[in-house]
Amino acid sequence: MGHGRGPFFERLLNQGCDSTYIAFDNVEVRYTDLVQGLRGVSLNICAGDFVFFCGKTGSGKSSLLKVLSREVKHTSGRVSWKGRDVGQLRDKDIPAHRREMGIVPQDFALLPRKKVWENVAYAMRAIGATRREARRKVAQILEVVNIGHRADAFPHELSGGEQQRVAIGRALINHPELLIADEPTGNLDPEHSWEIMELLRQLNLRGTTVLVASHDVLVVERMGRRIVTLDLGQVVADTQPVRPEGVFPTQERAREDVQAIVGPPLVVERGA
Amino acid sequence: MIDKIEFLLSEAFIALRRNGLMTFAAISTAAVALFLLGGLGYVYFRVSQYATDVSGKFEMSVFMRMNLPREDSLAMTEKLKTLPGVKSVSLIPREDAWLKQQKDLGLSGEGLDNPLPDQQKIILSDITKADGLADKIQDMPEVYQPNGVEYSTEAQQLISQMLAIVRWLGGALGTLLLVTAGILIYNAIRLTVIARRREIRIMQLVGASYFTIWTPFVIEGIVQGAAGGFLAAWLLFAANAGLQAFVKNVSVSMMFPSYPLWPIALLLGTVGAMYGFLCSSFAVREPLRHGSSIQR
Repeated sequence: MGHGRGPFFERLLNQGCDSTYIAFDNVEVRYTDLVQGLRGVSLNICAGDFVFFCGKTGSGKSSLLKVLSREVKHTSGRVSWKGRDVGQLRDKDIPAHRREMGIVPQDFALLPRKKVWENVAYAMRAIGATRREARRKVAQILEVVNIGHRADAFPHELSGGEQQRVAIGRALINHPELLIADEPTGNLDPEHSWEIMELLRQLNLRGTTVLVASHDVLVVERMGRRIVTLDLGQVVADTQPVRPEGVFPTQERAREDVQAIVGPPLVVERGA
Repeated sequence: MIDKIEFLLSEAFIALRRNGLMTFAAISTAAVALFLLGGLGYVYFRVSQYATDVSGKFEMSVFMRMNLPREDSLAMTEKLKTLPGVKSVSLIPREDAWLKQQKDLGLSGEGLDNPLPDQQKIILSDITKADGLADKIQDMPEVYQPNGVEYSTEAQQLISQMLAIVRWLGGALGTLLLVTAGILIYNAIRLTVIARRREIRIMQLVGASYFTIWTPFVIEGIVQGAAGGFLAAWLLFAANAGLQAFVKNVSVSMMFPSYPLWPIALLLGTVGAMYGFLCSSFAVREPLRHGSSIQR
């Protein structure tokens, strides 16, 4: 399967999508008899979408994302990604499932005793890349996320923003078609928050579907993308994206802008 | 394939280096446990060796039935050789025994019938089996009844009983220490795994397979166990040397056997590596199983 021009350009002309990429159908997550993460969430997401999940702490944002990556198994309902029933995955199939997505957890989840470049390289080598491939690509991705100058630092030597960038770099190293970020700006100041969001926006422009859980209302609104609001484990609002006229006045302008930032659209080969 | 092996090995050795304190704790625990186990094993080995040496000095005489054909006596010699606890058997024909006795007693022997039967001379390999062996032989139809077996002296019986007690105690203590060492090493390795439970979760998050996460942990366990084993062998060497020096001061006459350092280091290293493999395999299983997906 290859990705040519990002679906974002197509969506500029044709809002909506023909087929559902990710579907949540009446999904419930019950942690204990008293604590429920999700209560009957139904939602469709198209390929190439950029969706924010907003809500207060405990509203179910993280649960929703974790159900998709199978960090949490839902209690009832159905979750599908590319037609694959995520709830039916066997334990031994979960690693392969996660390799197709990039995950940026809330706590950054960096391996504490590995240097920055080793953290990113691990994600590549763990799934079979050679040392030479890893060495080449890690250097590139660290530059993309603007952390190349700290490649030899350990996570505890980095600031929150730097750790976040490493986590994003690691999530991107295997060219995932789906990026899941849980509170990526949670511990960052506004300037760094915007930097991270800009990075995610660029990725989305290259065709990556991006799902972000965030309670940073200012940043979310400024991005002008679809916002799904949750409260007490239920979807209470689903705001479709405002066409980003202000950001990209024309399709041609958008293409130029994107290419100026990230180069020509990626063609990513994925294994079966 | 080579790249994958290199990756798994480097993961293990980098983790060993960077988790220095936990590595040290695991190695030192394994060393202490294997020192005790190895020490007991070494003492047991020496006692067994002593028992074998002592046994070789004790004989058992078995008198055949009077007028037993020579072929039967020869067959009996072969039969006795197969019994447990027997080191060697030699047949003393009645004619030779009679000649010896005449010589010893200063008799001419003329006009006298040979009153002696054929005799089997048995050298024991295991003194503690002497009683059972004697009973078994006495029941054989070729043997003179009712007292065809002569063997025991009081000293022999005393040594035999002492050795039996030492062996029994050694076996019981050895089994206990074997289990205790396993528990100690398992706990030490399990602590290193628990301390890195979050790392395991992160590895799972980026799509690392069970095998990719499990293997470096197991390699770490093997290295920790083997290193503990080698260290234990050196500790034993030092303890043996210390004891030897102490005994020399007290008594010059007592001879100490030399300590075979390298064979013991190899043995304890292998035992430690096996412990490390088993313990780390079990220790890493739980966080791996529970970390992949939280079941609700």
